[in-house]
Amino acid sequence: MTEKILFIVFSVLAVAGGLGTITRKNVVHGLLLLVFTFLNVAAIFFLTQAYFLAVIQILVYAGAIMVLFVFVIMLLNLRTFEQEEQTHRRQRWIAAALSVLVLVEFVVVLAGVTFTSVRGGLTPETMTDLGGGTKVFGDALFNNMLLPFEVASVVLLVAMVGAIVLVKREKTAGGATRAWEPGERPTPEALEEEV
Amino acid sequence: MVNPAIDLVIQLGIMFAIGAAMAMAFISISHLLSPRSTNPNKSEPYECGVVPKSDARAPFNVHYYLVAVLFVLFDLEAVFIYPWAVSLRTLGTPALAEMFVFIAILLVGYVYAWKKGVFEWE
Repeated sequence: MTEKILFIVFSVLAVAGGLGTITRKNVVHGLLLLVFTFLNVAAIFFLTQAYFLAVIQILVYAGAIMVLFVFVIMLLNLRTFEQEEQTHRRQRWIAAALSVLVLVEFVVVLAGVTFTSVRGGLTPETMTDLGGGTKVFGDALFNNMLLPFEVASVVLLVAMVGAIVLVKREKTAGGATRAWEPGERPTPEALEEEV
Repeated sequence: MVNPAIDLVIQLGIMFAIGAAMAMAFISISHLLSPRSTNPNKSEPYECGVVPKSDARAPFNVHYYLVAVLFVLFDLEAVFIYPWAVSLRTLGTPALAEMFVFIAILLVGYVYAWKKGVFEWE
């Protein structure tokens, strides 16, 4: 009973936060509501005894991904969505239709899935017997899922190198390129010179 | 079936509630009890830096973004280390070697970033 009430509270707050995220005119307010949604999703993970997932949700999503969003907002210099609203009016309906489609997809797929392992169904009891969710995940990751684990490191490396290549300009022989100062907008002529 | 997480959620909830209540209490008590006098000079950033000239949301150096991306990537690396640390005792030496391979691959990216001068500010 308590479980059900807590689940309803957290999921209502998460959905409310999500709706707030997409309806705010001020992008920074939207971002704060997104973090609120992430925290509520973490609480739901916690409630289902997926403690590792809950901590990761806070650490990576409410922490690191949020930092990236802040930087994107500052880089793009977004104020409000007023201008965008006029050019993307039709996109709203396409997005709504696609969202419903994704929701139906999730419901259809998840309704037919039962999570099992070689040791049988992964109920909370069997998880506790095996030493907790984090340990089960670790054992699976370093035994059966070893290749995906090492591939993950390569994927992270690719992302790292890609970001560096895109951002760092090579120093050309002609003239040393310079980093743009904060608050400075490169003029078209200056960009021509760089090329 | 009793979900052992419920007790933890309630305990954490009480902790968050007390924390939030204390923060709000401190602010509201000082707001209610402190004597106030308004003066335009008091709103100026006296000896707290320069007087702001333009909007705070100015476009800024993309270098900050690069540092943020690297932070996210190494943060994700740390995510993999937690389950590894929990399972290491049962998994033994092979898992130790696997983690060294994982870190070695990511160290290539770190060295690349270093050589490219990502950590240097012009």
